[in-house]
Amino acid sequence: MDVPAPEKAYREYRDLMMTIARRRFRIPPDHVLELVHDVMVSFLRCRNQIQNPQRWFVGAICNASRSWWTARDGEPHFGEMTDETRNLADPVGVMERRVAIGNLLATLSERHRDILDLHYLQGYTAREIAVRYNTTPKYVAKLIHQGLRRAAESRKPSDATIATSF
Amino acid sequence: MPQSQHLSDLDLIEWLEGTPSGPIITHAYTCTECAVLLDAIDTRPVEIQIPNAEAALERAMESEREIESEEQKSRTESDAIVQALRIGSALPSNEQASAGLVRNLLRSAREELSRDPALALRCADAASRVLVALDRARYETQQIDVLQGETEKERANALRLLGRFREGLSACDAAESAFSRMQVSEPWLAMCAYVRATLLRELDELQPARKLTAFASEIFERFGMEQRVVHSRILESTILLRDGNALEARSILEDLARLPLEPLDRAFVLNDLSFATLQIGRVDLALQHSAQAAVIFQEMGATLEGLRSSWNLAKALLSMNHIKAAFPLLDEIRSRFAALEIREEETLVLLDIAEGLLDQGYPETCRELCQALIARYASENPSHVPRIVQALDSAIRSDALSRATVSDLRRQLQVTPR
Repeated sequence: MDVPAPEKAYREYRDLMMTIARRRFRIPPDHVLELVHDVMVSFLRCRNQIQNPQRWFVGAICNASRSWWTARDGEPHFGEMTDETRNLADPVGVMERRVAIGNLLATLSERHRDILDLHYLQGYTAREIAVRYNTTPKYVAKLIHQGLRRAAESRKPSDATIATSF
Repeated sequence: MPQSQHLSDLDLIEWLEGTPSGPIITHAYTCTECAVLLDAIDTRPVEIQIPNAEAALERAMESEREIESEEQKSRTESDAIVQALRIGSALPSNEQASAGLVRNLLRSAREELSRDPALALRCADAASRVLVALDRARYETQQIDVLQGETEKERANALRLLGRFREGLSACDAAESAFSRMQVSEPWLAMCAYVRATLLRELDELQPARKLTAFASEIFERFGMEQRVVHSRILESTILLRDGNALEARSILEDLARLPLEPLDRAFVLNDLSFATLQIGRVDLALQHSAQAAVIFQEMGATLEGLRSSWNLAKALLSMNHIKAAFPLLDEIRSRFAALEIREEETLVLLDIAEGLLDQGYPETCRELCQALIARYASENPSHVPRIVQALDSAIRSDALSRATVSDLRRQLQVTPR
């Protein structure tokens, strides 16, 4: 992969860096720019040694964000694990999760359902599914992600459900 | 990916590159925090509004441009300092301390490293003195930290080649301390880890050396510094070779040889592969890899590097008693040093041959070789080299030639300044 000129690299990766700093590390907006600047200084100094700029910019902004929090004795990562994440560590819950996924699949479009079925219930990887559908793994990954989000949305209790539960 | 954690940097990269594994996708679904992040990334440009975002690039470019301009202006001054360091005269007194001058001196240190490590060390020390005199208010803190770290890293590299390994480790400590102060520190720290591993390898502290190469390799990979990954893997293989683990070393080197490498990297891989295959008893393959490496070295204009690597292989063959393969190779190397008129190396190879011939009980052949050299040197200005060859010859004539004599002559040759 060619390393772009600094200006082009900046245009190409700026939004990605800011997204990661803001969303992943919760860097306050006022400080995001300062981190992007530090990343650019490092990039300018060692750009001759970089073969894959996307990896470099992601690695560098993650590193800079962690350092930012460390310098403030703060918590560089997310907060507590969610209940759902914690449940995943429990092997007993795996079967239940499978059943739940099967139920959720029924609420989706045919394309999303097929892909999620292949991935979660039949164990195909995104790459294998891509070969099967003659598309790219990235597109399959996106479909999986999209399908899961739609499934998750369909699980959210509507206002009507909340009202009747009282 | 452990389920109890959020997406790691590498998971994120996999997602961006379109090759996320099942657990990453599962996590993206089950973890709201990560889903939000991935959504934001997927739907770029994001809605985050940061006024004057271009200012970050402008500030970075401006400070870089200033140092680059200083670098241009201080080139003559830097050359004068390097020349003074080379001949041991007093340093020019009117040096203007600037970050550009530090960079120039560090560039010279890197250029001189393999040719003259002592001069490389003096260049790095000079850079260090300029750095102390620098008006720090003129520069970004991060730029000062990079220069400090790089200065100490170059010192560590030179100290390693000078055999001052413990001092090299102290220089690594100082480099790491400077790099650690930076916001983006990991790639620089990985470079330090690499240098530290080379020092520990020389000190035979092989396990920590190997751990450090793995650490460096992981960071270089995460940061897309692929050539550095290759270098770390080559270093790992040499550590394994020194540890007597030729099989694992060979496996790493064979993996590397399949990759599209830079020519010089390929030559180093093939060279190390020749040692690994030799250690597992495949002399034929070892010679084949070594010859391939030598061709690349020559094509790349690194003839001496190639000759030295073949020479190391020949010595290894000799020590493992593969006489039939070792002698022709040594003789060829000797002839090539002769063609390049590098007398010291030519004579050192001759001493290796002499030692081997003595072990095999052929002092007469050894004497013939010496005679040929003496005849050639007779027409040249006297120097320490013919004297040593003559000493070797007279030792043979008086039947007093022993391994100890050869070792003593070799030592004399190596300690005499060139």
